[in-house]
Amino acid sequence: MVKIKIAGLELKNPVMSASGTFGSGAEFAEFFDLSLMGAVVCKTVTLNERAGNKPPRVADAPAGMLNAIGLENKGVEYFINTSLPFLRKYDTKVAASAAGNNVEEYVETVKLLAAQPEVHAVEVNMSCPNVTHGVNRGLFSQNPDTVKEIMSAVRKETKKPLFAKVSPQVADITAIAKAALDAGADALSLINTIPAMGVDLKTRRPLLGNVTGGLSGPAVKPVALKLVWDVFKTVKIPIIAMGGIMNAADALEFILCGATAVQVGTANFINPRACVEIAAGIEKYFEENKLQNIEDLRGKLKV
Amino acid sequence: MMKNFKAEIISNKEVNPDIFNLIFKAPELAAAAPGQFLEILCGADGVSGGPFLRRPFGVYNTDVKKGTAEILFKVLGQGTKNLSARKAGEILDIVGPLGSGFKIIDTPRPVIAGGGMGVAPLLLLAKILHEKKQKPIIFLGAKNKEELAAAEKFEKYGKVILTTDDGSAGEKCFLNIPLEKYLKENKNAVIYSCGPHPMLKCLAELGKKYKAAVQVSLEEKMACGLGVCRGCPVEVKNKDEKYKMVCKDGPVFPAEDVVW
Repeated sequence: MVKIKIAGLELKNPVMSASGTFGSGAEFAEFFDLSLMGAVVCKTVTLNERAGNKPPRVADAPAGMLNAIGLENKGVEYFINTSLPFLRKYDTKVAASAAGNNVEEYVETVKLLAAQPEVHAVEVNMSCPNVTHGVNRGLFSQNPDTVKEIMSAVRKETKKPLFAKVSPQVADITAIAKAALDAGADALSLINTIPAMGVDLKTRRPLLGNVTGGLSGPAVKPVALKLVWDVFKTVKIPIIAMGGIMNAADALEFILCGATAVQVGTANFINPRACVEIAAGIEKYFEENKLQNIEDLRGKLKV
Repeated sequence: MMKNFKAEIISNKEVNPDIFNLIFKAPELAAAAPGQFLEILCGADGVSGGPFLRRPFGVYNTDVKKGTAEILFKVLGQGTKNLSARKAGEILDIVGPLGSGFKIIDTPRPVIAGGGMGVAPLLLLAKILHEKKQKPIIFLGAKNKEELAAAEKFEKYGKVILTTDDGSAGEKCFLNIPLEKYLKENKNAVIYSCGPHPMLKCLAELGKKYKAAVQVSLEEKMACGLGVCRGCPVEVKNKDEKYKMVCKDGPVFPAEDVVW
C-alpha cells in the first residue's frame, strides 16, 4: 500500500474524495468499502442550513460539467448528529469541510466540527464559486489577506489538521498558498472549480439557474496541474491536488507535479468506484515501477 | 439495491422515426420498481466524444425470467444519438435501479397518463397493475401518431385512450380533455403520470379539482443520480426542506407536494 503522511495524518493511500461529490460516503458505501480510501472528505457544511440554488444546478460542458449547487446543506449540527456517526464503522480518515459567510461563521463551524472525535481533519472551503462576499462579490480565497484572516482565526480553535481549500482563479496562487501556510494551514487543497458559465442558444438562457457556477472534470486538469506545480516549486506546504482526476494516471501526474495526496471529485458521478479504482491503480504503478513511497515520485517531474 | 454494472445489448430497434427501444441483459434489474430509472454512460468512453455526464432513462420494461430490461428513448441530443448507434452485442455501463418509483395504491380507479416520451416509465407500471388484477385506464398523448411509440404495448394491460396534437391518432387535443371527462364521472381516482411539465402541472390541478391522488414523475438536469451532488432539485411545499432531489427522493412525487 502506498501509505502517506500529510498534515500529521497517516493515510493508507493518497486518495480522498473531493468535498461536495461524495456526500458523507453513505451512497458510495453501496458500491465499495469506504475503508479502502485514504480519507473521506465530506460535503461542505455551514453554521446554518442552506437551501441551495434554484435549478438547473448542473450542466454538461466539453469534457466536464458545470455546477451551481449553492452549498446546499442542513447545517453543521445536522451533519454532526446524522451524517458523522455513519462513518464510525469505517477504517478511514474523515475530513469535515466547513464554509461560512464571514470569519465568525468559519470559526464557529470549524470549532464544532473539530470537537467531534470522528473528525480527523477539517478542510476550510474558502473557494466555492457559488458563495461570494464583499463589495466585489469575490471568493474568500482570492485575497491572501482574507485567507490569512480566516485560517488564523480557525487555527486558534483546534490542533487538528486544517486543509485550506482555495480557488484557481487568482493572479498569483503562490501568494495564496503562502498566506495559508503562514496562518497555520497544514495542507493546501488545490483546486476548487473554476468559475464558469454556459449558455443555451436555443432558449437564450444560461445553462445554470444561478447563471454562473464552477467548471470541473477533465477540462480543468491542465489548469490544476500548473497551479500545483507553481505552488510545489515555491511554497513549502503539502498539497492535496484535484481537478479532473478520472483515473490513476491523472492522479500520478499530480503527484509528479508535487502533490502528496489527491482528491477525486467529478469522476464519482461517472464511475461510482472511481476512488477505489484510482487507489488500486496508484498502488499498481508503484509496484511496477519499484517505488517505495510517495517521496520517490512526488515532484519528480523531469524538467 | 443500486449497482454499477455492464450490460450486453440484445437489440436496439428504431420503433418509430428517432424513437428507439433498447433491450439488454440485466438480471441486476429484476427487482426494479416502476418509475425507477437508470443512469447510462452515453459518451464514447465517458470522457471524450459525447456528453460527459451519465443520462437518466426510466426503466421501460423488465423480463425477470429472461433477465432482461428495456429503455425507450427519443434522439434529442448527442447522448441519445450515441445510444441510438449502439448495436447488439455491445456493452452498456449502467448505474441503477435508482430513485423511488410509483407508489402502487389499491384502488378501483387506477389511471395512467403519459405524455410524449413520458410513456417510458409507465409501461412497467401498467404491467404490474395488470398483474395485481387492477384495470387501469390509460391516457396517452403525443404530438402525432409517430410519437405514440408504445401505444399498442399498453393495450394488453387496460383500456387505452389516445390523443394527438395534430389528430393523426385518437382525438385531436391534449390528454387532459378526455382525462377530465373521466374524472368528472369517477371520483377518487389514482393517477400515475409522466410527461412534459405543463401537462403534469395541469394534472396536478385536475387532481385537486376532482379529488384524485396524482403521482408525477419529474425530470431535471442530473449529475450523480445518487442524491450526493444535490444537482437535481425540485421545489416542494409543506416540507422541512425547500428542495427535494429528483434522483433520490423522486423521480416520482405526490403532485400536491410540488411547487408548480
